[in-house]
Amino acid sequence: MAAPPHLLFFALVFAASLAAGLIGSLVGLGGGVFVVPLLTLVFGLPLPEAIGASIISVIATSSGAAAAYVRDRITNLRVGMFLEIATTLGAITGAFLTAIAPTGLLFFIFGLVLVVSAAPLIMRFGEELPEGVKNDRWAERLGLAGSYRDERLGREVAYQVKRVPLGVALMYGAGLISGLLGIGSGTFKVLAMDTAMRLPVKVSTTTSNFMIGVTAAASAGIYFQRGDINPVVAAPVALGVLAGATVGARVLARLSNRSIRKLFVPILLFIALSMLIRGGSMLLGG
Amino acid sequence: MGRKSADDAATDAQGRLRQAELVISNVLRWGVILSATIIALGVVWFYLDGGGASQALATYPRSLGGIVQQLGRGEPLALVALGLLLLLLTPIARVAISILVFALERDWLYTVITIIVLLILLVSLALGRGGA
Repeated sequence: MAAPPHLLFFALVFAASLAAGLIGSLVGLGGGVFVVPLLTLVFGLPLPEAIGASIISVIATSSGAAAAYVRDRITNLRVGMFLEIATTLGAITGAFLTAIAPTGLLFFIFGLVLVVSAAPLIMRFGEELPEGVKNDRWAERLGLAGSYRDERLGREVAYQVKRVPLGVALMYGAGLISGLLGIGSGTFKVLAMDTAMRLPVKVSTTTSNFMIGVTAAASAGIYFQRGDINPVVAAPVALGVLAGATVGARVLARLSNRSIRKLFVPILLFIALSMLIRGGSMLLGG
Repeated sequence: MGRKSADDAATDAQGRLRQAELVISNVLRWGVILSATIIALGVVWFYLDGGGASQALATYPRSLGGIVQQLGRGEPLALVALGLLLLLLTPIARVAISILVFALERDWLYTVITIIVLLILLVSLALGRGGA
């Protein structure tokens, strides 16, 4: 409630959200990881309002970039829709387990998981497109393989999809984490599609972008009714993120998959570190 | 001959898919532009109205009914809230439209998968829980 409604506040939050939307649309995250600390630590807003604003940020990133991605056919709608079943079921399970979950320990464990999962990404720094990926039985049956027009390479890129059951399990886990810890799980979604199912990086981040918007919308109504979405805070976030994500969508088409992976890894490590710190302080603080 | 007509059918299906994707893309674009415009207008109104001096901070609307009621009283933040609500609905609209798109493509497997996703979304909305 104590939002400082000054124009300076509006301008600063707008600028920071623009950056969050730009980065989020490129690497498949919702930007909550940047927006929440900014609002709580820098502007001293209560956590519920910051989380409400971060939900807005996730949806704005997703919808802001989506129009361009759908037109360029980078998002794999089938993969996204199929995996969304696992994610949303995971999120509901997680939300029911929050009361009994050791939150501090979970933050710590998943922080470590993220650190470890950076290794295969770093090893594939030089890879532009995954090679020798063959559809597994499930990808074949579900018609998950696809193609997109890569502006950077100047050609149509066809790809296949493997390890679908592992991808489904990881997506359920991603949903579980977001339900349990109240954090977005774009990072885990990108990892599941990139490392397990071996989709091209651009397809992974844009499909993650689609999915996080849908998952966030499921919980957004609740935040809205609870009054956690304060218009004074959410407005500059929404407008900034929308502008950033629109620009990001244009930039993504021209970037190489290699560059996107190089951008993703430091952000992944930043998120891992913030989870480790949060988990560690919760464990130590009792 | 048989082979050729199968190819033609595939091309037709491809064409329908492109068409459908363009429809989704346009609906999304206009939904986003509309909500951003409403939010921006509300913000301008809010600051012209004195911003901080307003009593509205503690009483911004939390439901569609509340938004309509406060808009009637000329409350700028209600306009911002309306734009935000519209933005929150875009992903759900996208899933709903996708059901139609898959059905038009006669892709029954994905029509069913997308209906399941929409149902889970509605259940988690009703439960009042769900992850971010």
